[in-house]
Amino acid sequence: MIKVKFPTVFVQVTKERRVEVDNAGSVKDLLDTLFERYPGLKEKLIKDDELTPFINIFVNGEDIRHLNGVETELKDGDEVAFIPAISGG
Amino acid sequence: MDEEQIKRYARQIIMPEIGVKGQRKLLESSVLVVGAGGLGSPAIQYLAGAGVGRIGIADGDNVDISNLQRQTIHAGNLGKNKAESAKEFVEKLNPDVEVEVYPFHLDPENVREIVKGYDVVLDCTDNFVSRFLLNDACVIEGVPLVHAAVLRFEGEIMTIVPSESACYRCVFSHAPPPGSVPTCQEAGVVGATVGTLGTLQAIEAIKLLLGIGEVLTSRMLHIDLLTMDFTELKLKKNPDCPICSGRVKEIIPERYAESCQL
Amino acid sequence: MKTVDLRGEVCPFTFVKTKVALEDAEPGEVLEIIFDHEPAVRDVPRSVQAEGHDVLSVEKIGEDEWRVVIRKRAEE
Repeated sequence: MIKVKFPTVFVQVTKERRVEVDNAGSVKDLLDTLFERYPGLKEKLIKDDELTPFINIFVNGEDIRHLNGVETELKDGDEVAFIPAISGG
Repeated sequence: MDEEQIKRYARQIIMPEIGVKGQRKLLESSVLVVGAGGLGSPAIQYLAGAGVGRIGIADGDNVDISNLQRQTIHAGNLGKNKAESAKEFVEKLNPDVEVEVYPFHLDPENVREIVKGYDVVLDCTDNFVSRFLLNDACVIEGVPLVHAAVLRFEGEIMTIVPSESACYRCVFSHAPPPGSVPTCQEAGVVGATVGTLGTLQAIEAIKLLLGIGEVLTSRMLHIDLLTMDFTELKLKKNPDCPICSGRVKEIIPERYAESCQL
Repeated sequence: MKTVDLRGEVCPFTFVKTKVALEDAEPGEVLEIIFDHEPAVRDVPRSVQAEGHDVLSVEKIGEDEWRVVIRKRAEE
């Protein structure tokens, strides 16, 4: 199971903050599964067919941009977090 | 230090990480707090209490009743400029602290001159334009910056030590377009959330000033207070970052306006 | 030997002021501290030892007076 954490800006669409996803071999697989499960999530993450640069994806605390991007492999027990830019203060 | 100061700072002086030497250092140090709002309020409170000798406070807004839900230092000061109000609080709490007030918003024309007069800067602002402005100015001027931001129950904090660590642009290359990310004004925030982050900023500043502990350089602490999840994220300097690579030596102005939707 | 008179002081100022005196002293310097507060006589030696200093002696020198002799540790 991949453990996924959603930020506040997604909860309106996903209704949950933490979910578990089965059978996602890569970040890309995980995103496809999540987009299917939560309609409305895709438009928050994908702009012009690409991942928006304003929401970083971290696997076990490491930015996927420093791993293999969306091809980054996932294994059982991995934690994936979506970290958007926030500005409140 | 005189008798009264020894009594005032007794609880810190007895700590091995601080001691008399550390206390003297704090009294000779300076911190600029940009934003005397949700983040700035607790940060200013704890820096003043700890005896940071000079605190600069920059804020162009006036105290509004909706601020008092979380910005406790402004008690009794409705309508007053927030930087001036914060100065009053500090003077009442600790006369050892010299306060420099900037009752206006920082902009590309004045920011660099102001930040370079301080040992550490705290980003306690509430909008992306200011955040990128401070990041650029501090990296260019070589002044350490502690960044924090919140939204509802969520928050993040990272410390930028110019030329050593990732900067804010390494993580978020530029401001998001309007309509994509909400602000606290639209989405809300609980006082204790922003209070927690502002307090963490104060502790990072103290650690930087004293050279103790481990600061959040090239690390971001991401917290979700609804679930009490505290996660550390590894950050890396982006070799293509225009600011910390030194390629761009001027502030990169961000023109995006904040949005009004969630 | 320098004498630090802390009569009249109570915890935690007995420790705070001892610490201040030690920080201002030279490494290896010996100080004598005079207390009239009994809990300090137990706590201060323990606290300064935890910071690496040597407690050379602790003696009662009067009805409610104690003398603690401390040598500041060698390096900073």
